[in-house]
Amino acid sequence: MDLTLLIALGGLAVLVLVLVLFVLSRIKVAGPNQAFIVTGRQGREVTSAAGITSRDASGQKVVMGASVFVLPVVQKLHTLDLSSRRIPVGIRGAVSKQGVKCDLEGVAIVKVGGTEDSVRAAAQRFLNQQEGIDTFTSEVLAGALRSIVGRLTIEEIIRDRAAFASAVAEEAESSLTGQGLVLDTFQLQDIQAEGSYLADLGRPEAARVLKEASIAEARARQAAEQEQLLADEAIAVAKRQLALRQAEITAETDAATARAAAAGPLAQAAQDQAILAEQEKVAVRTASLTERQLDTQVRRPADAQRYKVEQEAEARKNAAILTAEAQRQATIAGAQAAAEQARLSGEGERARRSALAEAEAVEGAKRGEAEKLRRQAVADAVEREGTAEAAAILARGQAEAEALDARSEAFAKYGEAAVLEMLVKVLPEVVQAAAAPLAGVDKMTVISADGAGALGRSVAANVAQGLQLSGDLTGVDVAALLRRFAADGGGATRVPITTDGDAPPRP
Amino acid sequence: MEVLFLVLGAFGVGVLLLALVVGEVGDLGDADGPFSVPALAALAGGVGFGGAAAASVLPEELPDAGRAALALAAGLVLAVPLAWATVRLSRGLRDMPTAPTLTRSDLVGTQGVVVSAVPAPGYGEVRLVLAGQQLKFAASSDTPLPAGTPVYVVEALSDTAVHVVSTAPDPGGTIQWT
Repeated sequence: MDLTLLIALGGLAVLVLVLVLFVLSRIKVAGPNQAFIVTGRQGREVTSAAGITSRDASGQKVVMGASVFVLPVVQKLHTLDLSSRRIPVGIRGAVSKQGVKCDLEGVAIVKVGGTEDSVRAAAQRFLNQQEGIDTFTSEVLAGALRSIVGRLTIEEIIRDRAAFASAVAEEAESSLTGQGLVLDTFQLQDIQAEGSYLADLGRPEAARVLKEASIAEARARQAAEQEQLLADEAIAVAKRQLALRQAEITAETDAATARAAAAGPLAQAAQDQAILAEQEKVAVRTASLTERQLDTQVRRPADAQRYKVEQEAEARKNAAILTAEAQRQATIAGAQAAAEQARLSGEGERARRSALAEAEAVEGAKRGEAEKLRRQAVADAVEREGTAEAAAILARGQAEAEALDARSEAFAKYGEAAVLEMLVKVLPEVVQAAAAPLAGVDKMTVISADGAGALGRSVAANVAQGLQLSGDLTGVDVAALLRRFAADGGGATRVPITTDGDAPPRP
Repeated sequence: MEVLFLVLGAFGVGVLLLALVVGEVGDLGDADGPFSVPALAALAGGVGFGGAAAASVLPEELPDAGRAALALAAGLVLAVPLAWATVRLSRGLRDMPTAPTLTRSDLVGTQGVVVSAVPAPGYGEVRLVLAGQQLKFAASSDTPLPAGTPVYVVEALSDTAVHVVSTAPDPGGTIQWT
């Protein structure tokens, strides 16, 4: 009996324990990533403004991360996973705002929203197909991404996170929120533009960086080269200074050595030089004495002798010249007179006269030859008598040359007037010469209808013939010159050549 | 006779254990009423074990019928309150308070900070601290707001979007009075 009582009491205790456990087991606890939707209860009655009475959705209890008592049979508990879902999104051939085609790959993190409405909306759609959320959302987001790319440029997609996020939020708001889904984040993983658009975007910067790098390299190399050259230059300068210094030292040393070596010979040379100088003085004084003796004993008497001989020779020469001239003129006049006499005496007389003139000419020539021989002898004597006479003649010749130069200058200066003046001076001599044949006539008988006037005309004709002859020989028309002179009036009186009329006229 | 009562009590406990292990059994149509599984099991278990205990302590001199009636009565006296208590416990737990779930109306009045600049037309992003958790919402504003601006939610546009105004101290920088 006692055993039965013990069993009964133990069974009662177990019964109570199991009862409590059973009732408490109806309390369900949601995990942090779970949402419970408990259905089966009635919602509250609400009456709208239009008077329509209905029950709201409060009978559908949404519990997240908490415990809920679920009545069996009449209530049903459903679980919705709130975990994030990684959804890859890829689109190809999307056209950007600028019309550039591009392929994009991104990833979206999507979860069921954390509010009561979101859970209810998601539960309605996905409760029994929660794996379908991934594919559904992926397709929706692909469409949304295509729309987003169409509203932005590629640069904005890449760089402007805010603009991209804004566009994504707008798209998500319209497409996902209504499904009770929340787009936690949406990131682009890869973007490929048609052609080389993206590569070209970076090329200016790459080129700039390359340029700066090249410039920096070049500058560094330039600086290095400059420093190298400066160092080389400094080394060269130092070497040059060293060489110069060495040369200076060598030169100084050599000079000192040379000086030392030359000191002895120099002293000897100076001594010799002093001796030579003294000897030279003695020689000079000796020469001076000798010269003075020579001057006194030889040169002065010689000069005096030479002067005497010169004077005597000059006198003799002048006398001989004058004598010869007079004889020559007398001979010429005699010959002419004889010729004229023979011509006038007749043809028969001419032969005899001619022979006589020939003889006379031979005699004159022989006489002139003898005179020449004699003058040569005199000149030889003069030449032998002193060389100084030549100097005297030279000096006189120079003086005459100067006088001639002066006259030539004067002639050149006064031209025809001077020539004319000379001619005028010569004319009387010409006339005299023309009249000379008559002078030789001892007795003259004039047979002419004109009387004695024919004699004067003969003289005039001689003069005219002479002038004509000189004009034909020299080309100077003396008669024309004379006429022009006469036409010029007293111009001859103004000719300065009259002032040196004392000079002997040149034949 | 005691054995019969014990078998009845064991049946009630067995039903409960079975239901506990494999889940709700039976479809009696009453979840927390007097005819629910725990209530019935409590009644059966209470009558069985209570009757067995009463029968074991009753004197042997009584006739079997009397003893059985007395034991059954004693079992019922024990079982009915037990069943009633079970029903009361279940009903009490049915309406137990749970942690509230966020609704859209909870968003209004919260404060946060802009994490992604808000353009004047269009959406930016704000982070709100709400019921001990940090949530990111799309946000619109009448004036452009740079990132980092403290904001105040004035309207919940949807479950994922809010309308905000700046609460930055510098009026010229964020709020434009036109």
